[in-house]
Amino acid sequence: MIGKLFGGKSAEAVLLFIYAFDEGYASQISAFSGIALNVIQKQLLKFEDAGLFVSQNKGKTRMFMWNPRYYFLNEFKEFLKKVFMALPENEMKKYYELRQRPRKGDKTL
Amino acid sequence: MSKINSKTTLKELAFIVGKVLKDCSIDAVLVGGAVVSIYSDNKYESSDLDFISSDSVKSIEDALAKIGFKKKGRYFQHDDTEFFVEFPPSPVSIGNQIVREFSTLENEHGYLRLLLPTYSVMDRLASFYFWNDWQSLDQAVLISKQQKIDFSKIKQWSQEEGELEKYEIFFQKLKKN
Repeated sequence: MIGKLFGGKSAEAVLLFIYAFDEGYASQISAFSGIALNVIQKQLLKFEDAGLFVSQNKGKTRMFMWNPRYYFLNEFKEFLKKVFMALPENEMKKYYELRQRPRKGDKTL
Repeated sequence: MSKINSKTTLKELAFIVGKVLKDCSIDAVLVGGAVVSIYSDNKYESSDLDFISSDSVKSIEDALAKIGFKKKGRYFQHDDTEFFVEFPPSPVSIGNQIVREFSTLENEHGYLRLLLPTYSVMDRLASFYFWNDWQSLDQAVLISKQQKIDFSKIKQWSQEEGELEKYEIFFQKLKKN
């Protein structure tokens, strides 16, 4: 939907994932979107370089999230909200199906 | 202009880089931790120079090549100094506020355009407000103790950012020090 505007499908996948979940890491977004890991990694770094994302190491994982200091952040998120709400039902469903809430350590999967 | 070597301080380097950028007609403003170093007489030591410029990467690369800096990924590095230079994306903004007033300094090493002390405090406070970075709070206090600061401006900005509670923490810490 906005892939062409931002230079490719990976940009759209990354932006919508971070919009939906506020943070994410490369392999997680790659698995979610079906786009190759190295392509997602490059895209995350591009957005970090542009100042839109910041990243933090959490254990061995490099977690990317919005940069709260990015001047256009509120407006950008508003734009993404509109894009997200315009997603076809079957695509939006994927986001609802990804479990994000914590699970007790001793609970069986 | 001074030559860069292993003894060049961060402050000297800032002036050398600022001068070559100016000579190449590149508008650039020093922000971040290096400004704290300058305003606090190096009580806080930064390891890099963050300049914000809306000029092209190519023109910046050509300018910095004149003093021996080479682009490596996001950073510009020099064989004779450990300090590196980075160009975060423009505009110069602190939270929702665009910054348009800057300070300019000149000395025997060159020229420097940098955040005014009040904006430098706000820049540090933004990291405290948004990331709970207590080191940045310390830096805001350091600058405030050494420079003339417009606290009413900072308080108003903090209010606009919805961060008055954290502004109070800053102000209490300043009074205690």
